[in-house]
Amino acid sequence: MRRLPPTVIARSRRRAAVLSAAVVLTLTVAGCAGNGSGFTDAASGKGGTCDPKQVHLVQSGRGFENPYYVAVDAGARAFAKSVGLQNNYTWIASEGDSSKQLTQIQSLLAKYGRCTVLNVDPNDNSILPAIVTAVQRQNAWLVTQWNKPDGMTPATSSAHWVAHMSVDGVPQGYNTAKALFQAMGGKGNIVALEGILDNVPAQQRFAGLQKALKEFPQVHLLEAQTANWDQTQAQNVTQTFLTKYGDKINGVWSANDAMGLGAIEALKAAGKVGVVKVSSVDGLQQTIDDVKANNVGYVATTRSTGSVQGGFGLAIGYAAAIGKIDPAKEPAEHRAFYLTYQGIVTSQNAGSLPSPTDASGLNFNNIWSVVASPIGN
Amino acid sequence: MNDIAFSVRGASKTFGGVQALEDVSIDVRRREVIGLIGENGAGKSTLLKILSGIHQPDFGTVLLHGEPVKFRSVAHAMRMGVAMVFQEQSLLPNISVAENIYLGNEGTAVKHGFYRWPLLRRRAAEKLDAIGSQVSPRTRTEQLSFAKRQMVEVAKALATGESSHHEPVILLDEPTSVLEAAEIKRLFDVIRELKKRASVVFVSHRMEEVLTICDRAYVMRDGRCVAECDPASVDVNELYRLMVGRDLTDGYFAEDQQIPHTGEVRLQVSQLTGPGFADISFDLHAGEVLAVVGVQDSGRETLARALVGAASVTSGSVTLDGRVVRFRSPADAVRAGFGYIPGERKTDGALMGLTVEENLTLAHPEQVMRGPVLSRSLEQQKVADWVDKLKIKTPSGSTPLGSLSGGNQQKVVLAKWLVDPGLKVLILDTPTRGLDVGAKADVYALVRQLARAGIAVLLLADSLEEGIAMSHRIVTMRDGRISAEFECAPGARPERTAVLERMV
Amino acid sequence: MAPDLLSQEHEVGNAAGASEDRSRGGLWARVSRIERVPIPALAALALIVIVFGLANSTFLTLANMQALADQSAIPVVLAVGMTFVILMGSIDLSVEGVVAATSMVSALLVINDRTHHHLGLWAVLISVAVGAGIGAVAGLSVTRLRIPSFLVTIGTWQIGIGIAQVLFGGQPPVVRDRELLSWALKTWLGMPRLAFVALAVVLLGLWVQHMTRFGRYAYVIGGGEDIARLSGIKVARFRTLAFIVAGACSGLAGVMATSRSGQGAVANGNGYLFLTIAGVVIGGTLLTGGRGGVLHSVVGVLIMVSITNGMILVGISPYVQQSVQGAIVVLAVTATLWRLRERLRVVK
Repeated sequence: MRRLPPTVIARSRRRAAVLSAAVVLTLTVAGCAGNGSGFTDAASGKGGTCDPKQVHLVQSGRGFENPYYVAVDAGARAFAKSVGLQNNYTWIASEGDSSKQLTQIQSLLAKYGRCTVLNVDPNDNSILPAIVTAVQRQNAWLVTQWNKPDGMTPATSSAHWVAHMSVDGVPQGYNTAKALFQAMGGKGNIVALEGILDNVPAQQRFAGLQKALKEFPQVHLLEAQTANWDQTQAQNVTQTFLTKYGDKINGVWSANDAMGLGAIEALKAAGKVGVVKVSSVDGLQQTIDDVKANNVGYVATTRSTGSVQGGFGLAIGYAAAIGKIDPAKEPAEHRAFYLTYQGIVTSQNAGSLPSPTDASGLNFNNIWSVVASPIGN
Repeated sequence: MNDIAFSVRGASKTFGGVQALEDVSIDVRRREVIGLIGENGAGKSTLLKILSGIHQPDFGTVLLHGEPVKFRSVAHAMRMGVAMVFQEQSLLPNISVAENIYLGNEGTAVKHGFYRWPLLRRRAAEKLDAIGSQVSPRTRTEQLSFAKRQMVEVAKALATGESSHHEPVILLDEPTSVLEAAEIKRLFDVIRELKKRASVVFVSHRMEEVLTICDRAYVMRDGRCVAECDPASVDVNELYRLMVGRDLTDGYFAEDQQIPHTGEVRLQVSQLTGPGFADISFDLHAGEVLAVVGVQDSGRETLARALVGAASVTSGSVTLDGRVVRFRSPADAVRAGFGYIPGERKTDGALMGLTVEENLTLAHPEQVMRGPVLSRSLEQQKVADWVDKLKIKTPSGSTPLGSLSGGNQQKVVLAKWLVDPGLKVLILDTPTRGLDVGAKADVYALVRQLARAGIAVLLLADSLEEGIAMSHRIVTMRDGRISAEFECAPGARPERTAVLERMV
Repeated sequence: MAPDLLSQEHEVGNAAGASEDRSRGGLWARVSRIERVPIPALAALALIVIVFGLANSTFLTLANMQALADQSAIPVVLAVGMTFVILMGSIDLSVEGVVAATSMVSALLVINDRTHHHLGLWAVLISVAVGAGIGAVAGLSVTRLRIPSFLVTIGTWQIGIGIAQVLFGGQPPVVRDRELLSWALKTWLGMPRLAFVALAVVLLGLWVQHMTRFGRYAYVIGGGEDIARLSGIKVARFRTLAFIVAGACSGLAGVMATSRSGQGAVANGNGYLFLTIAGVVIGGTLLTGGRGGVLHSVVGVLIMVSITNGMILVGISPYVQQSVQGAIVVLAVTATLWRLRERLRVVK
């Protein structure tokens, strides 16, 4: 099962497949082999002894064509600045290419050695074993986001894989759905646009919608279809929903902002914009603008988790590198956890909230403040 | 002698140390049909490639209307009025006849990159009319039969030739090798039409044809021009001796090797009907050679394919040794003891990239297997046996089939079926097509040998002569049905014209 | 080889076997002669329309026809360009990259919330030119450097994505140009304007295919490049031109995608490669070249779009839709290519 950051979509997947399927396969095999030795180190791991001013911070993600990573980078920079390491910070873009990501990480590790702190969003969970092995060989420090293979956790793998964090989609799907239903007056019919069906965030967000539907017996889900996180597909699906159900539709629940924006375009073409309400998840600036303007029926999205994931990912790794924490002694819920729920954006608060790329409000004094609940295995 | 349109003087050509052509001189006069005859490898295709601009001679000169010329390419030769009709046809199947005739030579029919279709079609129709062809310029070329495509090919040569000031010279490279008897007659009519406005060089390895159509003939052997002869005064045996350099021992068709069959019915076909043929009934006896003759589209190829399960049958039955059989695929037929040599040897019958050994054992791998495993040594031994028995000229068993000569390829394809001791019925679709005289004689002897061994042979003859001379019986097919049957015994063979009459 | 088999089968179908003669010309002979009309693909489309029409009454409503026209417009434009490349036996995999790049270019050159350009129609022309330029890079690499188009266009795909990312800069430019937006939002005769853009491209494509040297030589080169060379045809020049035409079509599609999504985005090209190639192939344009045409590809795209749309209308569960779509595609291809089938024909 794959876990992809929801806003990062099909194109990267396919491109990666075309360009580097073979390479990834090789690397995965190599990574798995290396993983065996990782176990012996796990027990003997201790906190790092790096000079706080000599640590090098690395943030790895797909690329800035996706606004989510702009927010991640902003959070990461904010942390780097808070510890005076803004000149020791590197952003690397994988462009959706797994072999490229691994090569980048390996060369940076070779360059900066054991005092490297990496906060990585793996392009594909299959390359994670190889990344862990590479980090451990240099005795450097790794924090991961979103993707990890089932059955592989920091606690059981390596002390140098400090933590894994992800975002629980259930409260996101639930709260945006509630906001949508309230905007519809607590009754009516909705259609739902799901993400890639075997994605964990897609499933969690949809589970959140279903939870909300139970609390609003007068709201009916006419139909749910996948639009694979994609704006164009979402536009087509919404268009088809509109011809199929016509005026029956009062709201569109979307599992991410890109699909929500596609739904808005379809509603514009059908002359139903504003009449049919829309909600989604992710907190893209463009969505927030629409919610704030309050004129196209876009009622809610979630707050972006990007800056938190970037900033706190590095903060946790940094704490391990300088010996402030010893990963081996941290409880399981600190090694693999869901972020605290960040809240939703509605027309009431949209004006007062900082933009997704504004990380000035982050407070890194308590690095565990963002832990909500542990991730099972 | 200023009526000489085109000539070659003292041309020599070597390829990697092999002398392909040595001091050859020929003349082509205006409005004359010149024959160029020889076995494969005699040098006639090399000479033709020099005449058409594909190759340059190492020594010697090409003269066009008395002026020395050097053709840089086929396109250049065409612009100068020397146009070649290729053996492997050079028409594109997926465009119209009119486009093909003027391909790359559209002239004013394409103005500023835009087609003027009515003009193009009218000009193409004129060219087709000139050779008496009824083909429509609008037809997509692949919809034409091979023979009709060849007419288009000739019209194309005429059209390209017209771009020069002189009357064109048209080179026909083995144009009859894949034509049926009736179509060859049509082609000869076309050549006679062409002769009114062009010079023609006619290349063939069929002696009768050269004697029929040419005004003069050059005989080639071993890269030399060994004789110039007058068709009016030379006979077939004389020509054969000139071409092959030796006399026939068994006679061309090995007719004295024919023995009466046993009379035991091996294959009984009754009222067989399918797309392309209808109501076909005949018996085929063990040890008998039954020839099927017919024009293109007579349905005989489809019938042959249907018999081995490669084409569909809608009704009727086939009985093998008294048991009704129904083949769903060629594999079924092979298991039942059928062998089949398709007409398109290059595409259907043999894998040119594989070795002689691999091709030989393709249909019956069990013959070279020990248990479930292919035995390399058994394969080599078996193959060596057959190479020897069939006198296949190959450097070794591991030589790619594609590098052998046509005759040797065909022998390998035949041997492929012969390795099966359980072979009962052999269906041969024009097995000698494209082979030279010597190789043909070998194949004929082989077919005789097979028949003597009790195998029932169904032969789709390449020419009428072949059908008459090789068989115990002949059936003619027309429009998918059997139109007549002739008994055939040495010394009591039916007349050509009688058979031809029932074909068309 | 296919041609022989085709002619054989054809003549069996024609009892007379002489349809090519000028003296005759029955209806069937005329119809089968015109390969320009993709009869099997049209039959497949008709079948799909009938099945979905019977299964759900909404399918054949005007509203749904509008939706289909709107959803088909962009892939149809892409397919027209792709057709000429595939007719010549090459392939263009760069469509998504070129659409991404030109979507960004067009969004930034019309009135938007990021830059201060308002070039209007010029932005469209510049985008088409950018697409044609990327196509020219691909075409020249294929013909001059002799790299297979399959590899080259993966490269130009990446170039397109790269251009788009540079222009993207973290935040999609939202289009404020009412003229461009009206392409997607307003209708003529009840049909979205984008559909008319696509229709114009199709008509132009048909004309090019039938009336110009470029169009006819696409068939010649795809049918037999060696014969084309032997006939003195400058193959490289026409092949390069095909990639330029395909690039220009992708460029126009990029503008259309910007208009339709209301913003410039790298993701605007997503999903079009599969849709376009599947459409072209289903329509009966062979990947080996020389067969098919613009109309074939358009019908193929309509089949693909109708399937996606119809399945939602009929209410097929999203979990099985992919499989159902795959099965329908296989069926459609089988129906389309049925006449090329021969039992002894080797399929690779």
